[in-house]
Amino acid sequence: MVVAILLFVVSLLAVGEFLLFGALAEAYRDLRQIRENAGLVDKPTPVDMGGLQNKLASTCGLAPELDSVVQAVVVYLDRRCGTCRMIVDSLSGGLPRGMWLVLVLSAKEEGPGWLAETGLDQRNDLGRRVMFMSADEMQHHLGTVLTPLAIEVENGRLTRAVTIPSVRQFYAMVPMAVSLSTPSHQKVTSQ
Amino acid sequence: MGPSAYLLAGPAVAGSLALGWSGLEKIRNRAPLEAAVTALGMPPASASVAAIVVPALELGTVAVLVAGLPAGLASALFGVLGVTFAFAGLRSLLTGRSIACACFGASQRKLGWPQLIALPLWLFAAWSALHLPSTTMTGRLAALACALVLGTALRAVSALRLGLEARRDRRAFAGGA
Repeated sequence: MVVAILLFVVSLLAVGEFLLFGALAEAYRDLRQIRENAGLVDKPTPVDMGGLQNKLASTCGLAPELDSVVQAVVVYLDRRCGTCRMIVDSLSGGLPRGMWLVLVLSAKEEGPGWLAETGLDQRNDLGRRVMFMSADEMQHHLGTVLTPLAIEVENGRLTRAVTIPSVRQFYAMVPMAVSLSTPSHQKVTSQ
Repeated sequence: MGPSAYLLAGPAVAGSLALGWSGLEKIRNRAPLEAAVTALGMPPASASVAAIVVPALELGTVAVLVAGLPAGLASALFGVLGVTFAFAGLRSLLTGRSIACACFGASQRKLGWPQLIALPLWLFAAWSALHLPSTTMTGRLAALACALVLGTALRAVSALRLGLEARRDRRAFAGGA
């Protein structure tokens, strides 16, 4: 009899928990729906490249070195944009391999200050991958001033553009760099 | 109890698990069922009544099995519910409207052929309920408790997964822990 009562009580408790978890799941789904309607879902949005598709990187105001790069991602960041500032703060002096930054300036004097914030030195390899561009130049080359914006470069040509809604998506875009060049080959070539 | 007895009991047990989950979801949130009944062309007052009667019958079926009441009652309930669901599916197909199925709460699934196809399964469960082996009340309560705990665990997993997703989104946008 006691066992039966205990089992009944356990069943009642389980029913209560079932209903509570069901309500919780529904609340999270409602939250997601609200975020989707408000455009607050952490998902990159494709951007129509129009006439820029497959254009050489250097023709779009980017560094000429990008024309010979097999795979890279160029990220446009504007100091006035909150997400851009969060991305810059997350760098801490380290720029993932394959990522190139374009810091969009409203005034040229901002350049050194921005660079100092990234912790990067333009004289070394990492800093080499940081470019400056004014908002007018970005408008001229891309037809828009949209940040944070990521443009994928393959074999020197612009292939795909997406928005970057968060720091997480920035790091998710880091290309996987695969090289066939062995250390011994590099030594011979450098000679 | 031999293996054949377990096999005979299978459809009734499976059916009662489905009805239990379905009934609990419907009492937690009556809106999807009310919307489905209204979309089928029933008056709103009937929709409110249906939103109470249908889950009551579903949970009542489970209660009848656990309480060990006459097998004919559980069998009749399986049959009535199966025919009701099939009728809803048929009416949905005849009206040509796309009506969301409220079988297990709010969902994207539509009423129609699945309910008609499931009718033989419900009738099989009704037949199976007439051939359940005799068990003790404690045994049946134990089975009920285990099923409910397992169902709650499954529910918890989906809720926690949604919660983790929401937290990742929040941290991605707003930062913090």
